[in-house]
Amino acid sequence: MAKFVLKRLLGSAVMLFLLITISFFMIKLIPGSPFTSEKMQAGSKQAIYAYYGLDKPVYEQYFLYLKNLLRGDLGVSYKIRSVTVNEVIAKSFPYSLDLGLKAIIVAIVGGLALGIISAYKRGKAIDAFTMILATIGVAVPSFVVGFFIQYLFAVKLRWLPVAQYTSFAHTILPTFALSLSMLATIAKYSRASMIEVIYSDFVKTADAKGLSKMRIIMRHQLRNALLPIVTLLGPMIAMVITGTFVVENVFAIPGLGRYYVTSITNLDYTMIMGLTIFFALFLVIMNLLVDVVYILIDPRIKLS
Amino acid sequence: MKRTVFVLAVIALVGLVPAFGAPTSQKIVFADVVEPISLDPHIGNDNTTTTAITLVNDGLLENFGGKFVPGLAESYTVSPDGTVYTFKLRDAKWSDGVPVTAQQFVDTYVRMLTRQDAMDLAYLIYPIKNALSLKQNKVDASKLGVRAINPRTLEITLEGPYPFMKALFASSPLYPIRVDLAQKYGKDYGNAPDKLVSCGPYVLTDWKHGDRLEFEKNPTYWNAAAVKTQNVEMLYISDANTLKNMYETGDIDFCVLPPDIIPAMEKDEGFHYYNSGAVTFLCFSNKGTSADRGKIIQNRNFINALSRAVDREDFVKALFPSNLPFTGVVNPSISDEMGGKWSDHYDVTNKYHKVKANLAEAQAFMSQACKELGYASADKMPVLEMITTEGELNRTVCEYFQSIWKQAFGLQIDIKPLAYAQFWDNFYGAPYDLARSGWGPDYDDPFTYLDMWDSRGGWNKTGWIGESYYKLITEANKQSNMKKRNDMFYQAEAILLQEAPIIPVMARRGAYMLNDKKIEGVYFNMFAPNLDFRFAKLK
Amino acid sequence: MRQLEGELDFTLVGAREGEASQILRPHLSYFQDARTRFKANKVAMASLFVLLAFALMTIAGPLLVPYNYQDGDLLQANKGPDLQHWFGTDELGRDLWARIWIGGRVSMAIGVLAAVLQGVVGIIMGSVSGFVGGKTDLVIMKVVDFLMAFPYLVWVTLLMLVTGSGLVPMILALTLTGWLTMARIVRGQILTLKNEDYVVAAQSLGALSRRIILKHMIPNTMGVIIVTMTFAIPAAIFSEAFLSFIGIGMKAPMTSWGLLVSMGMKQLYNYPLRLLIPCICISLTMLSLQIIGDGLRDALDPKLRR
Repeated sequence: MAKFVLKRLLGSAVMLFLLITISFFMIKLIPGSPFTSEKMQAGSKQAIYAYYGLDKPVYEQYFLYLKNLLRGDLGVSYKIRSVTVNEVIAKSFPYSLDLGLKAIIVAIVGGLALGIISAYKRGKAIDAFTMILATIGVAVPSFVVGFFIQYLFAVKLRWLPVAQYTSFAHTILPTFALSLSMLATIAKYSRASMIEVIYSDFVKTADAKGLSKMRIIMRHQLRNALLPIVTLLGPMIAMVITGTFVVENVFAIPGLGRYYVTSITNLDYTMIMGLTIFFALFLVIMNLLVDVVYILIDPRIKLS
Repeated sequence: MKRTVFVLAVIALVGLVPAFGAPTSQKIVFADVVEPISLDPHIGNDNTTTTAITLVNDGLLENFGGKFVPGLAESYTVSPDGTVYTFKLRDAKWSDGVPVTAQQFVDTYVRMLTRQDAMDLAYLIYPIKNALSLKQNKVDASKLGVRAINPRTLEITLEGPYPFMKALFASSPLYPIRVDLAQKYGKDYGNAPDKLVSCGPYVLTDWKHGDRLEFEKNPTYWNAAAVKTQNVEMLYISDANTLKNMYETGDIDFCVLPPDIIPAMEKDEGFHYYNSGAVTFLCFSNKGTSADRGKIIQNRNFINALSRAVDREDFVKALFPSNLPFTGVVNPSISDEMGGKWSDHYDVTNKYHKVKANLAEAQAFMSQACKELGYASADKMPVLEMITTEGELNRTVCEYFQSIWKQAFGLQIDIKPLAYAQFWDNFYGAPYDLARSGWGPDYDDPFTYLDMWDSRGGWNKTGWIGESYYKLITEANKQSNMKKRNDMFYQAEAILLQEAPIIPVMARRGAYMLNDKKIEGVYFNMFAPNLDFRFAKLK
Repeated sequence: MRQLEGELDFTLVGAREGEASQILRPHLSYFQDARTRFKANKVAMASLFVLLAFALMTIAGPLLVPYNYQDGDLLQANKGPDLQHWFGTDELGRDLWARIWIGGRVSMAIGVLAAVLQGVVGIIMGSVSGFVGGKTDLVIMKVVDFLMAFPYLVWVTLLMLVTGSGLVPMILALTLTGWLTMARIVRGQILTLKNEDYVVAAQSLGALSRRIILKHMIPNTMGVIIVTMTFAIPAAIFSEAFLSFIGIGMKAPMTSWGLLVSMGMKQLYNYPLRLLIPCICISLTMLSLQIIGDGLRDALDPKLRR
């Protein structure tokens, strides 16, 4: 196991390095710069470029960036002069992490629960509800969902706060908005696989033997149902990351996703680089963890 | 095992959140769609940044409800020729106990002119004697026209009797800072409560970057008795819809509205229009993206044709119901320095450019232009490129012109929306044909609209050089008789409208939400900060 | 047992000539069988009709009205749906019916083109990788792993920032980042099939690799390919909508459903139709594609063959 982890870490380090290099040069290719503004005076641009070292040849900037990177210094945001990229990540990441974690838990638990219950109560109201929710989650673009539920639940019904992330109640709407599409997928699949199982032979046999249906399902099928979800975990994390771009914006949550979008609009090079690297690093670590969990759960998998 | 997972899940679900904040108490909550750039007054003067800076800082003068009242200076005198201001500073202190002294002002302005990293705002103090020369390193700092006669007397000498200096002294870029701390903290100055001291009504207690700023009443403020609310919060709400929603639920008390949400809030309680003083215009470059295009856009008849084909009234009614058609350069609601507004005595409406379109005249101009340039008709001309900053509204504006001119002349325009930063890069550097652009006034004086077209420096990147123009405005600024000065400005404006490659389009208004029933003591300003709530109180 | 007493009276009938080798039902090829099963899936068929209806509207819709999507008549601005403008007009006086369907063309075109191109690139990379094996396989798979390790939209965003916005850059960006799934799937299939007897037989008979790939492997992989491509279409449509929404997708004067949704959101309070109509269009299109994809997957699943 340890060898596996080590090998993966090494491979990931190489890939990360490639990513950094590719992104760095790609960002240099983007036209425009973060410093121009309406009231720019002649000569200001050169001076500012010199100050930030942007007038040096590109490869020199690259090595300087790498050098700083090794010290853990991701640079200063060009647009928001008041804060370094490291500070931004340190302050914003907990919000995104909390939101993302909650969304994944809600998606898995909610999806499984809804899927199982509707399979069990096939054709009843709960089944219809699940199918409708699943349809919405799959078809309606995620950026619209947040907007609608904010309007409905926060403004019209006043049940929940409109935006920000300062109490538990504040987390409900954004979590739901972020988790909806994943919840829908998990609900659909677990419902389908549950239906297969409920009407399958071995359950009928166990049932005939006198075991309670619920117990059977829980003991036999849940484990099997969890496995595909673990495989989905990797892509789900990636989906959550991109989902935060919009959800954090709509609900005014000071997380990394919102910074990413604004830094793109502002052409804030260092911020874009820093956040890209961070997302990548995060995803790599998460994928590794997921694979480890997968191996731990399913003894059949070989470490090849 | 399952139970552990379950427990962990519950903890995660409820978990980290309490760390994020406490329930709100009675305080003023303000929100904006961007964050302040910094609390260092010399880095930015957009509305959001200025609003935050005026909470923690104060200037020689203060703009209070449109009047310039004493701030850190309890009184001042002006020399007869209007070029020397002598300020008597009051007994004010910074929040760390250090007194406010005249030398701090000297150091501040020197720093403004000599710092390397953020010189965007230095131009605002060029009216001070030798400021430009100091900036260009032609003289040394001791020659700057700012002198500390004694710790409580400050003397500022100007290059000329610029009457708008009063307004400038009350604006945030001229606020003093503690240069000793700025040097100590470097670029971190102003970014956190421990890297800033305040001489204004509030102190910064927390700045959660990307989220909010929190302020608390400053007990050492010289006018602390007038500050009625203990706590202020400034939130960063990037989505305009969310801003609207938060206002409707009462989560925020007032805000300036981003333009695209104005129509949606027009009917809401507490909606107010304001004249922002900003103007939108189209300008043509001298060079163009190719030699033949350059010739076309320099042709006066071509420019007139394009201008005459636009019905500014229809345009405004359809796209910007909150704005007003505009055919001049100086915004009518700017001060005339004689106690009134520019429009009291001067009106250039319909003199050179017209509010209503006239297709016949436009087409006559165009055929004249075609004759002079050697094209059979406008649709034979090469496709011109129009650059603009991105955004739905800007794009729509360009599309409007594109279709009007196509229908009128068959002229073809290609729209090129550029990211904000890229647009200004292009505007200053790369060749362009047409640009949709605008300007916001820096201070309450007509000169703010006129000095930008001075080709000797600054903003004018059209390539147009108006010698008679800048001679005229330089003369005008030497006048101490305001009427004479304004007359000369008016002449200069006429020159611009007839010779310069610009087409004025509209004067912009903005809107803000302020529920007078819930809060009192909030003043509106045409200049940043648009909403002054330093002495406001919730009812 | 009791009931059968006395009724148990079996007589020997014997075998009837010729019946043993009678074919009880017609032989169906794989695809014919799949088609039948798909047709029986009522929900999937309904979705197919919905999808075709939308596709038809995007082609024919703009032709039904005399307005085009770009030119606006300001005097007609901000009208609600009426006999002249079936969906009303926008703030520039442009006809919304035309804009919706032109936008649909863009969204669907991007969806289909991106999915197809992703598929083609994926098939080529996957089959080369799987069939040739060895170093080539290793290199290609390393590239796939690398690209897959990072969020897809991050790649697309970077690409679009560099290339600028527009139809071609977007399709390019989506293709360059979206071929990975298809490549992996095709490679997997090829690896499985490589060891099948008939392939080994063909190889020993001297058949060229290319011939083997084209004539044997790909047709057998067709099912998976079709299903994967079908699911790739709504993913591409969503990506386009998302990118346009955050501002790096399509720009003026082009329009797309994603852009129309983003514009509509700001005007929900005054002109709700401007958000609802494009939203419904995207949702129904994506939904029907998902259902069709599910249906195709079930139909083409060899395990369900009867």
